[in-house]
Amino acid sequence: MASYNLNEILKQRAALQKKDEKKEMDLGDTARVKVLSPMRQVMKRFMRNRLAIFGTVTLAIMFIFCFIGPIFYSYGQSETIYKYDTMVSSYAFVQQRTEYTGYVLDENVTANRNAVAKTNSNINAMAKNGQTNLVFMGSDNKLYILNKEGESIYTLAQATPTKVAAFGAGLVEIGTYDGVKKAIDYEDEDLGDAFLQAAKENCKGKGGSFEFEGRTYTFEPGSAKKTFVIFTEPEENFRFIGQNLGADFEAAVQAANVGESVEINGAKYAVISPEKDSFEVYSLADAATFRIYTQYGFDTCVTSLPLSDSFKLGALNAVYGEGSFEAEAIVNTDAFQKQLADKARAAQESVHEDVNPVGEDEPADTEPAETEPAATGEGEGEEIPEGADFVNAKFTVAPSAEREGVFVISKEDGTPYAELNTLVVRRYNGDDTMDLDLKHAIRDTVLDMMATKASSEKMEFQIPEQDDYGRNAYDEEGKLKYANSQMTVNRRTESEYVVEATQRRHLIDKFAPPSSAHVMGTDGDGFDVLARIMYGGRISLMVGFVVVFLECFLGIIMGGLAGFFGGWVDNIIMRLVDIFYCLPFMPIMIIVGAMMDASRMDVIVRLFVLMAAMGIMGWAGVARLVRGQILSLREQEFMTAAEATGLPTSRRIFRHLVPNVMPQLIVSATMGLGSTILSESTLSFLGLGVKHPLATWGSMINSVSSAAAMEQYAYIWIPVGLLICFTVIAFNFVGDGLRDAFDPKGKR
Amino acid sequence: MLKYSVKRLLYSAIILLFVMFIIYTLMYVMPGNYVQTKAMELATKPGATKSADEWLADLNRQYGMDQGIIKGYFTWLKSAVKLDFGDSWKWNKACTKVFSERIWYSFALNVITMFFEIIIAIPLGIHAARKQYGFADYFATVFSMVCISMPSFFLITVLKLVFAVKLKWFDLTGMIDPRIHDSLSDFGKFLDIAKHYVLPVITITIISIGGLMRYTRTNMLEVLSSDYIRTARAKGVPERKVIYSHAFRNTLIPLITILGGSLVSLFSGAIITEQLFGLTGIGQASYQSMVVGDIPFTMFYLMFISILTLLGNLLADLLYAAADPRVRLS
Repeated sequence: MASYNLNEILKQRAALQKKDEKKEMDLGDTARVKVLSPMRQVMKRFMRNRLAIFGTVTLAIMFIFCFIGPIFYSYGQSETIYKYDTMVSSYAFVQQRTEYTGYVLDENVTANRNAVAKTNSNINAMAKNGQTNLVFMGSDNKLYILNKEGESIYTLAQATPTKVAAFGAGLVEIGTYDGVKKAIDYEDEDLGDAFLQAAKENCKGKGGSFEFEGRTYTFEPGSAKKTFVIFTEPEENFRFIGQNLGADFEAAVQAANVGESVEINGAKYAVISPEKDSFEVYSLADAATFRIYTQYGFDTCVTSLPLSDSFKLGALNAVYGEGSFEAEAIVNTDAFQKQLADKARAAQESVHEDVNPVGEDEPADTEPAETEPAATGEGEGEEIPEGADFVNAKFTVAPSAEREGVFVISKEDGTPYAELNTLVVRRYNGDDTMDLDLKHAIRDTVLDMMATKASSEKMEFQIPEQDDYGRNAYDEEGKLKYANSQMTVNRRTESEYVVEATQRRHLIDKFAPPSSAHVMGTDGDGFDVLARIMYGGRISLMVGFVVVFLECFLGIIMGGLAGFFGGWVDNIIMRLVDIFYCLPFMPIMIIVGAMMDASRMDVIVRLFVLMAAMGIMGWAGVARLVRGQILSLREQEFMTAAEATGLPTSRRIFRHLVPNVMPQLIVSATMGLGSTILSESTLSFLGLGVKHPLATWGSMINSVSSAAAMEQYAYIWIPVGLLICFTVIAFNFVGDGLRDAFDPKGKR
Repeated sequence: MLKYSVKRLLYSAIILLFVMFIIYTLMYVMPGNYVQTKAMELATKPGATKSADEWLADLNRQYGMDQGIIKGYFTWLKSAVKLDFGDSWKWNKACTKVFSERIWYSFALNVITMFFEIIIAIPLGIHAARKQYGFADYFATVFSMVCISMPSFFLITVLKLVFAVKLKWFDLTGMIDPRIHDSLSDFGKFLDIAKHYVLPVITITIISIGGLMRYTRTNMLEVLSSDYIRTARAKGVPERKVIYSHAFRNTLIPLITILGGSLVSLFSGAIITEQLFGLTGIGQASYQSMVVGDIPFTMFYLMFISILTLLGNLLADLLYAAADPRVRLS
C-alpha cells in the first residue's frame, strides 16, 4: 500500500540539506578535526610502524611460548627422559674357585695372622705333594694343623706344642742366656748354677763356644740385646722329654714324614724340623679345629635366601662327616619370597613418593655400575628381610645325583634347600640374586666349554625382567616376571667366564634425535630440549624484566632526586653515576660469576645474585636519562603551577615529573630488556650466569664447544640462538617504534 | 681549552680512584679460602717459581689483602702509582709484561675492525637517510637492528660451523697454524696470522656495525631536515653536492666525536671474541685471569679499561669542541 508521509519527505530533505552544508564547511572548522587522546595518537603511530608490529607480534609469540607453553607441555625443564633399549651387558660371572674361603668355626681361638694367611699357599703345596695334612709351627709358637677333609674342604686346627721327644744329629737348643738378668731360660731341663756361671763368663761378643763338663756349647746372639742362644750337640740321637714312650714310638716317629701328623697308639703326633737334621716330636692331643676352608660356594634353591653362618659351617662339616647337621636357617621359604617381593614393591612405591611428590614419574638413576666383578664370596652383608625367622632345623648333605662334584643340602623332608659347588656363578657385580635354574644352565654351558675348550658359546634362558627403575619387575601376584634373553658365555681365563646377556634396560635417553615424542630431541642429560627452550626463555625473559625493573627503580629514585633538587645532591649523585658509568660491565659480571662459582652457590640464590648485580651495574644510565628530563621539565610552567598550589615535594616529583619522564623511560627500558637478555645469555654461555639444572638459552648453547658437537647438535643450538636473536630484535624494534610514536618529530 | 682539559683530567683521576675502590672491594670480598686455595694450586703447578706462602705474601704486600679495606686500598694505590702491579697468578709473570706481550694483537684486531666498520657503516647510514622510508632505509634499519641484537657467541658459533667445520677454510681456534707456522717465511707467518684474524674481524665488524650505522642515519636525517639544506636545494645545487658537501660535512661532527672517543678503546681488547677464537690478545688474557681469580692481573686490567673509558669520554668532548666551533667548553 503506497502511502504519502510528509514527515518522511521533510526528513529526507533535511538530510540532503545537511549534506550540502557539510561540503560548505570551511577549512578551519574544528568539527573537521578528529581529536584523539595523546595515548591513542601514540598507539596509532605505533601501529603504523611495520617493524614495531613485527616486534610486538614476535614478543607476544615468545611470551606465549615461554610462559604458557610449559603448562601444556608434558616435560619439565630438568626431567630426565628414559628409554628402553635391549642392550648386551655383562650379566653374570662364573668362576672355577681355586682359592679357598675360610669360615671361622671357633671365634675364641686367637690364631696367628701369618699362619692363617698362608693357608691358601699351604693348601696348594699339599695338593702338589699329595699330602692330606700339614703341620707347621706358627710364629706365635703354636702348632697349626691343616687337614684335608675331602675334595675342596680343609680344616685348620691349632694345638699348644707339647714336645714329647726330639731326635736327629743337629745341634739342640739348650736355652737362652740373658746377659742383663744373668739368667738362663732353659728349653728343657735346668743345668744348674755351675752352668749358669760358665755361661756368664763366656757369653760375650758375637758368639762362640765354651766347654762345660766335657761338652762343647756354642752360643750365638739372640733376638734381644745381650741375649745369647746356647746350643749343644745332643748326647744321644733320640731323647724323650718327660715320659719315655718306648721303642715302637721311636721307630714310628722316625718313619713318619716331617711336617705331617702321625697316629701312634691312638694318639696324634707331629714331627717338626726346626733346624736341619734336628727333629722335634709334638703331641697334638689338644688340637682344636677353628677354621674351615673350602672352594665351595653355596647356591640356595630359593633365590637370594640368606644363609646363617652356623648353616654354612654345619654343611661344610657334614660334607665329609656325618652327612647331617642342625643349624639355624629360614625354613619357611614361601614366606620369605613373599616378604622379599613385598619389600621390593614397597621400595618402588617409596621412590615414586620421595622423588616427586607431584606424582610425575621421575625414576632414580638406573645406570648399572659396570665394575669388575666383586669377590664371588658368600654375599656377606646381605640384607635379611624383616621377620624372616631363622629357626633350628635339621639338614642332610649328600652328593648330587645329577651333577658331579656337587653336594645337595636337603631339609628333613627331603626337599633340596641349597647346593655346594666349586663353580660359582654370581651376578657381575657380585650379588647372589640369580635363580638356581639359571645358575645350573650357565654352569652346564661352562662345563661344556671347559670340556671342548671353546672360548665362547651361546645359550638362551629366562632372566627376570626389569622395570622402569632398573629393578626386578613383579607381576600382580608378587611373582617375578621373566623374559627370554640371549646369552653368550665368554671365556676370560682358564677359570673365569663372563656371561653377556641381552636385557631390556631402562636408560637415560641422551642426545636423542628429534622425534614425535620429543620434537627437538633430548640433550646430554636426557632432558627434553623443547621443554628446556621454553623454561630457558622463561628465565631469560624474567631475568630481563627483573633487572630492568631494578635498574629503573634505582635510576628513577637517584635521577629524580638529582634532577629535582640540583645543587650538591645532584653533584654527589652524578659523580656516583659517573663512577658506575666507568665500571666495565662485562668484566665485572665475569668476576662476579667466577666468585659465585668458587663459593658453590645454590642455583636459585645465584640467579638472584646475578640479577641484583646486573641491576646495580645498570642503573646509572637510567638515572642520567631521568635527571636530564627532569632538569628540562622542572623549568616548565606546570611545575611552577604545582609548586604554587603547595603540593609536597614527593608528590611533585613522583606525580608530576616522573610521569612526564615515562615515555623516554619506557623506550629505554624496552631497549634495555633486549640488551639485558643479551648479556645474561652471554654470561650463561660462558658458564658464569645461570647454572644447570636451570635452563637458559645461553647455557643451552654452551654445551656446544667441539667441532663435532657443533655439527651434530646443530638442531639444538641453532634454534636456541635464533630465539635469542629474535627476542632481542623484537625488543629493539618495539623500543624503536615506541620512541618514534612518542616523539615523531624528535631525533631518532 | 687547556684549562678545561686539565680540569677534566683531574676530575677523571678522582673518578678513577673511586672506580678502583669499588673494584678493589670486589676483589677484597673474594672468599678468603678461595684465595688461599688458588695460591696453593699455583704453588703446586709445574714450573711454579714461588711457594703458596710467597704468593700470598706478595699479594698482601702489593694489595694489602691482610689489612683493613681502606688501608689495603691505599697499599695497592701506592704500588699502582709506581706502576708496580705485581706478578700475574695465571700467567706467572709480571702483569705489565703480559700486557705488553698481548696488547698489540688486540690493537691490530680493533684497528682492522674499525676500518671495516667505518667503510661499511657510514655509507650505508647515509644511503638509508637519503631514501628515508624507502627499501634501502628499511633494509638498513633491519640490518643494523639484527647486528645490534646478535649475541656474539652465537654469531661466532655459526661462523665457526660454516667456515671452519663445513667449508674448512679457517681453523676453529688459535692465532697460528701450529703445524706449518714455524716453517714459514716472515711474510708467510704474517699471512698465517692474518688468516686467523678473518673470522674475528668479521664477528666484531658485524656486531659493531649496527650502532654506527644508526648513528650516521639519525644525524644525517637531522642535518637533511635543516634549513640550509632546503636553501641549498632551492638554489638548485645538485643533489650530489647537497648530500656530500653540505649535509655530510655536518654529519661528520658527531661522527668524529664518537669515533674519536672510541679511538682509545682500540686498546681494550674483545673479551668474548678473543676467548672463543683463541686469539692471544689482552681480552683473552683478562678473561682467563678473571675466571681463575687472578687478582693482580684482573685489577690491572680493570684499571686499564677504566682509564681507557675516562680518556675516551674526555677525548670525545674535546673533539666535539674542536670539530664544532659553536661548542664552547667550560
